[in-house]
Amino acid sequence: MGKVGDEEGRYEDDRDETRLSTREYFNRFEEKTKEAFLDAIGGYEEAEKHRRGHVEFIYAALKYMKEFGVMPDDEMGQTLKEIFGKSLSHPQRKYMRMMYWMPKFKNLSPWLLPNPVPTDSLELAKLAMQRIGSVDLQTEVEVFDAGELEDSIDGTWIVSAQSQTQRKLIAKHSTDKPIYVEGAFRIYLRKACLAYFILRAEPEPKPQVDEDADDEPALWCASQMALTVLNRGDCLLHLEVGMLQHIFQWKNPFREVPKEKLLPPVQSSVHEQEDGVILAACATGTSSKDSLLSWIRFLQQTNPRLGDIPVVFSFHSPLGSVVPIELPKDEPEPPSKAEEDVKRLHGGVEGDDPEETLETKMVNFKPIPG
Amino acid sequence: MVVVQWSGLSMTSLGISRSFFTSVSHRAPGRWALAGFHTSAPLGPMFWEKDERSGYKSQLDDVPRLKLVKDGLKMMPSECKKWIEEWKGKLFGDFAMPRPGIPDNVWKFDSAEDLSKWTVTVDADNSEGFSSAELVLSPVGKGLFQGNLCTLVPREGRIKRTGYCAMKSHRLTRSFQRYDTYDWRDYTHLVMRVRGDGRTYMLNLHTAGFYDILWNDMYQYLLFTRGGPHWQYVRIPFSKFFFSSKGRIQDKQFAIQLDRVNSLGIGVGDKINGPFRLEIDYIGVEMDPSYQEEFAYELYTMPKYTTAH
Repeated sequence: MGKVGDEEGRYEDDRDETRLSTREYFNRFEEKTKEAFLDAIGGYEEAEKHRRGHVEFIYAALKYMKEFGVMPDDEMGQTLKEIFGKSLSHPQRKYMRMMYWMPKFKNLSPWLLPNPVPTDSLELAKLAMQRIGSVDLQTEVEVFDAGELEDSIDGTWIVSAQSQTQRKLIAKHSTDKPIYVEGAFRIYLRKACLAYFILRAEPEPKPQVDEDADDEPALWCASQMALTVLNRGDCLLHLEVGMLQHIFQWKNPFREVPKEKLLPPVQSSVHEQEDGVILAACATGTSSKDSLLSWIRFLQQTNPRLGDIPVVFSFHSPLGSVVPIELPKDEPEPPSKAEEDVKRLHGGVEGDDPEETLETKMVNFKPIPG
Repeated sequence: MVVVQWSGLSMTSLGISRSFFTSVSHRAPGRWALAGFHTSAPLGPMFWEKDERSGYKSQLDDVPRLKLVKDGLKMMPSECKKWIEEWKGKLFGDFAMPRPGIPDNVWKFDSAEDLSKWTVTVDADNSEGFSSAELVLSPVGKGLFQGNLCTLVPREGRIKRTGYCAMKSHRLTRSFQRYDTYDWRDYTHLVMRVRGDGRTYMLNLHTAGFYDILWNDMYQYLLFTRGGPHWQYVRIPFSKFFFSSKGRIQDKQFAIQLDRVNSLGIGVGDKINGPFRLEIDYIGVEMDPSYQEEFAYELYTMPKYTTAH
């Protein structure tokens, strides 16, 4: 067996197993197009009047389909019919199965992406931010050029996603509590993997429930559940208190729940999660700390309050492990949580090392034996 | 008693359909008549499944028989208690009534105990690849299925392609480790709250039956994740789950029998090398009275000898 390197390599390897004569039908074409693929099949048809080695040829053809950019379609079905006869041959059945199932799932994803996804990392970042922002219909995806800022060192692009709701959340955020720039996290867009960062605030404490009261915990649970239901579909629905009361009272018609005892429904947005309030997300060209600083500066234009809130740049996140960043040589390890670099934005960029570039703008994973 | 010896090139050529088996195990044998059902010489291991695990090792394989017996005896008191509880529930318990639109929790992922109800399997476990995965508590205290998917093929030459990681809930059992099934006939949707990484995962509802050809039955559907820091609510109608066996989509489709589900699995095998991460808050079922679809795929009869059952 030959070497198996990556995704493409696997096909390479499969081809090694194919007999040279069979491979020749496909390899003699410089240009890998659908026409060339059909010509290759035509070549086999002419050369092998008695269809010798047709099983091997079919396997080879299936392997070359991807390389020639051929997907099953009517024309292919017709070709199969011509070669293998009108009755249901195995290739014909395989084709029928593919044509039955593949179109069903082809465009099934709620977050459709071009196929293949663009190779340009800026275009990818735009797609990624649109996707992350799809949780809120009001999300605006903006592209900034850090070169416009005087203090920027990187001068790279920044794709930022923020909605009106998130701006309002920042506007009412207390200036005593810091907010965090965290990352990098991974997002996959088909085969491409992209690093992104988030702006997060600590969650607001849950409303206190009187444990002694009889039904109250259950009541709160039920109200949360109902809200969960109504928040589903990732869209915010407002719930009226009266409606909640209506839901509970059927449980115990003999007990009158005083109005003041009912908890007010928590009208929270999708961004206010139990593990943090998501205030914005971004991807930058270099994923460097400097580019993130530039991002916050750009956000300040629409969120003036950011100037008063302490912003902490963190390599750790309670939302989960961040991308193990490949630092350039002679680069110290990312600081631990205790050594977090607290920066008040109006305090300038002192101590920001331009070499602190985290090479995560686009992570291409090679298969690593785990 | 009918003794059936398997023969012939395919079950279709014998004129036997799956419905024979499903109907027998469904305690509704009246549908099927034995007329025209031929028996002939046995044909070796073509269809007969000898092993429920298809030859893959079980963790119990290496445990000495004596230890199994001892462990089994130790379980007796707790199993008896379980059995008593079951009967108490049966005789005096309320029957569960699904509330429209309010999901009922089936699996939580809040504690180590919740996670112990799941088994994580990767291709490397059976020397079929180099992927790795784990199910742990995430920093926010939810279930986190993460690992590294690797499509590198071992050079032994036994397999041609690989790369999967999967988590599967333990098969549901009653007291004394008897197999049981969930009864979700009143529900229409599978609901989850997850936070993924943009990858597509596969949901497997296992409906293993009594006979060997039903052992590997499952119903599958895709779990698309958005990616990003926000939690995502997933609500998938059961009607969308398609029928497959050993991960192979079947020509002849059946709607899932919701009183047969005994386990749920989540797998990743999207041929994308690299780390994956799926955080799970809960998995539940929900009833939506307005949802009418029974099965999302065609059920028409195919010409004979063309489709495998």
